[in-house]
Amino acid sequence: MAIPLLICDDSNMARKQVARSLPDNWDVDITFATNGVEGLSAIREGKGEMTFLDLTMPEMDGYGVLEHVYNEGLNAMIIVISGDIQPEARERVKNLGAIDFIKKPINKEKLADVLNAYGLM
Amino acid sequence: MSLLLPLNEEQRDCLQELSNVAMGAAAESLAELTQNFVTLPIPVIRCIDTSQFVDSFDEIEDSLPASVVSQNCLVGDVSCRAMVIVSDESIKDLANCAQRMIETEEDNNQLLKDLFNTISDTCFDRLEEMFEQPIVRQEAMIEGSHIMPELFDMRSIIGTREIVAVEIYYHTEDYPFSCHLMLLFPDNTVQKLAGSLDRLLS
Repeated sequence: MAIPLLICDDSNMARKQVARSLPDNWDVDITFATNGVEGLSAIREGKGEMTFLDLTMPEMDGYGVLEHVYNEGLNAMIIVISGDIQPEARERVKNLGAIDFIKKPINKEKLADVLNAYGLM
Repeated sequence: MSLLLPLNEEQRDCLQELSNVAMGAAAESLAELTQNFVTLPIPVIRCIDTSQFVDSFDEIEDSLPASVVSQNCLVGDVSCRAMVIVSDESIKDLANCAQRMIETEEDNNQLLKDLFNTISDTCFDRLEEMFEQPIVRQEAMIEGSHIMPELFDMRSIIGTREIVAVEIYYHTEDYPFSCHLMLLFPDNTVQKLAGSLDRLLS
């Protein structure tokens, strides 16, 4: 059965970059969200069991999404993909439940390394 | 105050994403300098009339008197100007958290240049990687110190009537420091900029 996968980023270019970086043989059902509010709704609807989440977004940022997911106990394995590479940002998202952090811009190799590290592919 | 942006939506989105990554990397360098977490908003892209520059940015009007450091650059064949605008108050705050003494105007100017170089070096390194084009940079210049709004003559600094401005307003989370980083593209270079963005998108 395909894994419900959410790509949440306000940039169309960034969403496409993530989609292009997915492993070729990964059986996923992709949903796109353009801000944190849309992303959180998708997660609540079960469309983000695996979520790639940007931090800097309008409406609700990635930290806000992580807080809601954590507080509501939602079923989402979240990997943050962000240009905010401050060590403090990494620490904060991990404390909020993100399983890992990938520095933008993403590519196939970086994503495959992280997915392999967690046995996700 | 904004004019019609001479980029299509795909080009605007691409420029914003590249800026987000480059300015995000620069935030890490700024965080090291200030020893504080830097809040990173979404970069804002606008086309503005240089004669109304100050009025176009609420926070700049609020932060004057301020100092301006800028640098001409060539990104591939696209000329642009990087600019940092920082209030006098924030320079004092920066001196405190970076443990620097400001006793003379020379000390002040050196800290301004150090701030500019800290941010712009990282920003341009990342832009160079993403544009896959060499970036040639001239020496950073202090355009003015302790400037009041009526003396903030951006048209004479930039040299054209309209510019596409990419702007980010950095501020530290637990410390009263803030500054603006801008990438300014004069209207006569926007076509080349659009071409470079199209190349990245293709």
